[in-house]
Amino acid sequence: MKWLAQFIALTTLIAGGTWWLGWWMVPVAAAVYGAWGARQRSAALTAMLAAAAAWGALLVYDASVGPVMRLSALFGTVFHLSPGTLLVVTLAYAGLLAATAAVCARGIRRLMTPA
Amino acid sequence: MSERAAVPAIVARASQAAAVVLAGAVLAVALYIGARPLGRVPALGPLLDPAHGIWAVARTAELPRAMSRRITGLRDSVAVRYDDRAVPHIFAQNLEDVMRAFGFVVARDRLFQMELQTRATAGTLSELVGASALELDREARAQGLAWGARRKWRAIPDTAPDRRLVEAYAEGVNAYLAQMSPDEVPFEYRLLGATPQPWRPEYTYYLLARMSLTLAWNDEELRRAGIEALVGEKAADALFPIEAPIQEPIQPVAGRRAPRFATRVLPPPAPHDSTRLVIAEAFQRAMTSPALAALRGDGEVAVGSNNWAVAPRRTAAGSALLSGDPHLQLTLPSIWYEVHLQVPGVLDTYGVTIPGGPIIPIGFNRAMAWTATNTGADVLDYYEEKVDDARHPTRYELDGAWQPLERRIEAIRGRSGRVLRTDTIYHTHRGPMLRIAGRWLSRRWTALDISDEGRLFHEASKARSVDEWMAVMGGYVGPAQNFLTADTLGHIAIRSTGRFPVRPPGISGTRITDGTKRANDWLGFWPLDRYPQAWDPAQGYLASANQQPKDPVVDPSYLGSDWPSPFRAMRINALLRADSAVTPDAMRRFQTDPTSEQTALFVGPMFDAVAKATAAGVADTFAVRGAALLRDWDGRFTPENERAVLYDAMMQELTMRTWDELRGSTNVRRAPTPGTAVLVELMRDATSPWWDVRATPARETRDSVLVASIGAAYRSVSRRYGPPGPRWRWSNIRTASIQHLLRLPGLGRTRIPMPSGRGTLTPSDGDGSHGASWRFVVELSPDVHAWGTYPGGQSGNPVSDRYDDRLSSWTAGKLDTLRFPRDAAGLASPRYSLTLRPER
Repeated sequence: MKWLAQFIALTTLIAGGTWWLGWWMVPVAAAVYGAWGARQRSAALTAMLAAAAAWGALLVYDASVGPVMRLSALFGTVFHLSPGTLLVVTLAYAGLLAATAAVCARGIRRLMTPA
Repeated sequence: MSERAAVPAIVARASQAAAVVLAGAVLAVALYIGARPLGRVPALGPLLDPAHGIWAVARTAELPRAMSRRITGLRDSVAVRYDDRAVPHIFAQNLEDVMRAFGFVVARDRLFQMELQTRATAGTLSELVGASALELDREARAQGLAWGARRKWRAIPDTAPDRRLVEAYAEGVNAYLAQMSPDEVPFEYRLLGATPQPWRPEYTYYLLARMSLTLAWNDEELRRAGIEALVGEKAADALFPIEAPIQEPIQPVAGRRAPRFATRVLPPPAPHDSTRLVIAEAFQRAMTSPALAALRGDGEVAVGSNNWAVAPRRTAAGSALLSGDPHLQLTLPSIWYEVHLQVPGVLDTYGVTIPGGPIIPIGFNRAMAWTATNTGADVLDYYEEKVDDARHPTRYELDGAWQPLERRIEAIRGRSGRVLRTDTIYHTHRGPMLRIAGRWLSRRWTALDISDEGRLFHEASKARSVDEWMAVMGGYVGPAQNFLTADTLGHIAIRSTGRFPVRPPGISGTRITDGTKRANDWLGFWPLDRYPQAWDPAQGYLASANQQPKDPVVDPSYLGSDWPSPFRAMRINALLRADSAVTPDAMRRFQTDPTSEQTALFVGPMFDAVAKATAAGVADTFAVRGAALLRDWDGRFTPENERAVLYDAMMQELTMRTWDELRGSTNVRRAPTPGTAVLVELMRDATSPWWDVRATPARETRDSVLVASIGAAYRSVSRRYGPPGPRWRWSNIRTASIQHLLRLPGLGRTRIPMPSGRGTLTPSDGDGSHGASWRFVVELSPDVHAWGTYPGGQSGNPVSDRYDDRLSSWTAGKLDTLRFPRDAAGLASPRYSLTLRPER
């Protein structure tokens, strides 16, 4: 339950941060979470899932007002990729940023903590 | 901690540190490619961002249903109402405001196109797309189009009202840019990782200059030099004649109701002149450089615009009718943008504009309509100059004295702003020079003259009658157009309008002129009353299709050469002659008429030749089969037709065999071939030496070439498409191909079946990249009615429904009803609305 609450809070933070401030809020929010939850082994996984969920939610919003799938397919055609590639790359990129930022922040925090 | 316990702790810390380093490295890479472009791949962060990145293109695919903006400079509120076809109807209280709103709405839909076209003319594409555009930019700078456009802009007095209108349009574009949210940045900018540049008023003149490059470029001198080297001067003159062999002129000849066949016997080809051929091939390469072709927007194409008007006495409703069908390179987004501009009591005009140009070159108002086809007059001459230094000249010789050359330094920059290349362009008093095969040629071209077409189009769009419109446009310089007009008073008129040079006696526009004598310069320009023209002709209709405008028996003055074969004009005139109660729907049907007037001129003689060969027992089986199949053909290039392919292949074979003398060395990329009308001329001489195919020991005649051509056509079509059947359908073979401006895959539309073929009103014997760019019909009844469409849509956003929503009607040859409301309230339930207000 606690994990779920953290996950939702982080997802909301990343989505809001991206909307209001920009894409770079993904690693920033994940790093903050990673440092804060340094004791949790699953911090990186949580951050990755939350980032993908946040960007996924924004994409769902985009799809509710515009032809997102058509855009993804078009992008795929332009770059000779499969129609869903843009979608997958978008979510994967958010996840990668978040996971690596969380691992770094968590690791640094733990390294700085006396054994 | 004991020593025993400390060891695992150190190991754990070390592995933790390693994980941090590894994750940090991956994060650094992810951030780097997120923030900075990598080669051609734009920075991934802003690209993939679902809030403001490329995904926002989907969110902004449609315009907001209602929007209000305050923009600088506006004096009164402007109401913009978009109809069901997404055409903006702009209702303003004064001309400057209507132009500001015009700039705003066009930029909102076509921003990238505006910038790309401007950069193509200015030679700054490399700054947008990188070094891959360097050669294009060099070509554009060498042409001097932007240089000429800037001169034109500077020549307009600061206080001139039309200058203010162009500035107001630019202000409108920039007002849009200023309030544009990051979400609205067009798709292409995101792919390129670029940002839109501000719009400057002179860019409007860049676009007009670009139209001149597309429509008024004439390389006749260079081309003819090549032909002369291959077959001699006399033959070159006959193959690319000044006087078209079939006369169906734009200016009707009183009492004539059929084309005049002015056919002559072609002089035999002379032997190749290998010395001249070397230079000729260099000319050929310069003429056919990919950069020039891309700039001009041409390729393997047959461009052909049509227009015609019918006087009230020959229409069913008793009102004049006008049809416009300009053919250009087809692109997505389309070259045209539809718009309606209204200022009460001053301006009420509907038509198409080129994004970036605050004018309506083709359109109508409450009193009249106008359209154009290209005249194709020779308004560009080459002069061979004598310079003081072959590589780095500073002076050129004129009447025995050295004159200083003007130098223009052109620095072409890449995306980073770094200079990629610096070129020096030299100018004589005639124009810019180019160096081909060690020779310096200067170019005198009316497109670079000081003129103000923008003002003329603007003034003309307010005209209340044909006479008023023609009077205003009398000062038009170029690109020369066959302007056709009709009004609600029942008048129709046409005039080939442009600045046509008068050359000194003995100086031909078809050959390179000696530049060392000032006496060889143009003497002036044709007076207006000598222009090809006709007002309310007795025949009751007028038509143009790029053919020779005046029959030389009426006026033999040189206006150009190698005129397009007049089969389209012949077909239009035949259709109009046969219908004395023309309706708007008939006008629409004529626009996509699939019949060609040329087929009978070749198929009949081919049947005769095959019959003779059969009787003599020398007929090839394939020729007999091919001829039998063509006997079933109705001569129409409809998409479902299964015989047109055979005719098309036969004509390819016939052309290739007949003009084999024009194939130069392998260095020549593509030897031009004479027009089909010249082939018709040759058909009358069954034993002409031109029929002889040099590669064979036999001496061929017309009939043997015809038999061989149909036989080879049958073989090639069967080999490619199998036995006669559904795979021979014309829709499988001749299709339109509409590419995106950047030729990005997926953003164009290809394999669109068209009722087009050799000599039809929609010619399409090239790669399908050119065609009807805007079709419309106007009924000049007291309450003007109009119908139209173009291949594309109003939006430049490739995922918008409005990107290509007109393509289906265009393909089917249908026209949409054009809404022409008298005020904002007259447009019931607008699709979108935009209100622009002055800044407080």
